[in-house]
Amino acid sequence: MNIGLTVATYLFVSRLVPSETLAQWGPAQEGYFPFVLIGMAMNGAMLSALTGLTHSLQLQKAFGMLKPLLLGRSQPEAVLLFSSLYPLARAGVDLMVYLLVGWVVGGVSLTGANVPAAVVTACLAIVAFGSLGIVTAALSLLFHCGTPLLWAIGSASWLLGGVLYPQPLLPRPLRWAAQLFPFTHAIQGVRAALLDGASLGDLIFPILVLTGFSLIMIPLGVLAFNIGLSRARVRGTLAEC
Amino acid sequence: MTLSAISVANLTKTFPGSVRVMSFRPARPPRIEVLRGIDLEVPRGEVFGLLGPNGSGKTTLLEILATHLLPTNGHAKVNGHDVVRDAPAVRHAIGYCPGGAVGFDPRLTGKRNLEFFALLGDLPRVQARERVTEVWELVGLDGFRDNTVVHYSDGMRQRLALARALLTDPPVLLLDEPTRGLDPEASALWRRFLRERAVEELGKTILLVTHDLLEAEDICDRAAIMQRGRIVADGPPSELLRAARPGRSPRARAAVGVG
Repeated sequence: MNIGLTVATYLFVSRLVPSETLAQWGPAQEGYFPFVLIGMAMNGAMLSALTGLTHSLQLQKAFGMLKPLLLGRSQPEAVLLFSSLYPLARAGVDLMVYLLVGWVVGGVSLTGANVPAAVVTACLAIVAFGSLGIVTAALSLLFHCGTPLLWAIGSASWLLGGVLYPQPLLPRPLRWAAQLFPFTHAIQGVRAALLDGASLGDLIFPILVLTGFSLIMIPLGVLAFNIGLSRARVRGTLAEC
Repeated sequence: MTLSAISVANLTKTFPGSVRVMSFRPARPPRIEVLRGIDLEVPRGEVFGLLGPNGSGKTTLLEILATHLLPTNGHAKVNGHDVVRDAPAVRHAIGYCPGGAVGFDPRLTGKRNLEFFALLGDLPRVQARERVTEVWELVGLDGFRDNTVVHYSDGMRQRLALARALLTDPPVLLLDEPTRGLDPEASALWRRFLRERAVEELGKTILLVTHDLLEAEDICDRAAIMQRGRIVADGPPSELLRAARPGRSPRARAAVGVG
């Protein structure tokens, strides 16, 4: 429902943006609506992957379920892994729903898309943001302050990631800053695969960035989560929201 | 194989004060000493009561034995396993009912909650369903299988919490105020259930936190009274109760933490 309303809103907004205006800032053969649809879809999916585990932890704390969960015979890492799976799957489904609604409501056709390249890039992006989500969940255990970080990342992705406008529109320092964030590469990669039919070979740079980011963040996230659990056991804050 | 189901030696727990990150005048926060040198032995098959006023450290001790908290100093073993060095084995050996019988997803039925925790306890799916049915009947929740937990009364939640604690058939049960919120009749039924079914029939060892010395007398073989993080008296509940009666000498009453 939420996705449908969001897509419909941007369908009307897109009528204010002529294709020629967008073309000044980069390749945009299909017009503004497909451009913004893919930006919104990727942003929504990445934020679902990013926030899912923290929200799940907060819900478990609110229900008092975190302690019973950790008393199970599974290792905390396994609990963490399985708790992360739903947000990741949800992110993938959100992405597909965005594209489906865009096709139904806005008639977006992706006939020239390179679907395997888009799927690989999107999956890597979701895993990369899921791993960042593990780190923010660990911070919420350690300092009860994971949520401000989520807001910061979410806001940065809107500003820098090229969700609503092409990045060349940004001043040069912000363009440089945007290159430091994985969502920039994820959105550009999926957009190129779906709108321009870019192949896996064409997308090697964003794929490498997203893979490298995941390889660093997953072990870091698990380590931070274990430190968070240990500290919560010392401080007695395991059940605090 | 040790004789004691629970063994605690010189256990202390000090909580670090919470650091205020955004403070302009960062000061070293005061530390809170909650347990001060607790020694305790609970033999197998015994019901042991922990009594004392709020803030005396009863729940903290239980949480350390349940591996939710790390002790500051000293040692604690459950079923022969150290709670720090061998925490996974301790978790296998215990069933824990937290105070207020919390820890269920209120949107799911009681049965679905138990199935979830049975799977988490490494029971295969078929065995998990069978075990849920067994403990469901054992704690007397028949007829409420399809109700979501949000509609359960306090008593039903307590039963559900005990059912969860019994799912993996652990030898030791840690119960934090299991009769809190129950009416006197339900409390009596509950105590009889713990004594007759859990201890005499199933052979469990129970460490029970309660505020009520009469309840301890009814169900416990032995009890300890805690005050300000220390055990100030221990023995059979009837003796503790006798010493606590009005009219006894102030010294005798002080020894069991009253008067």
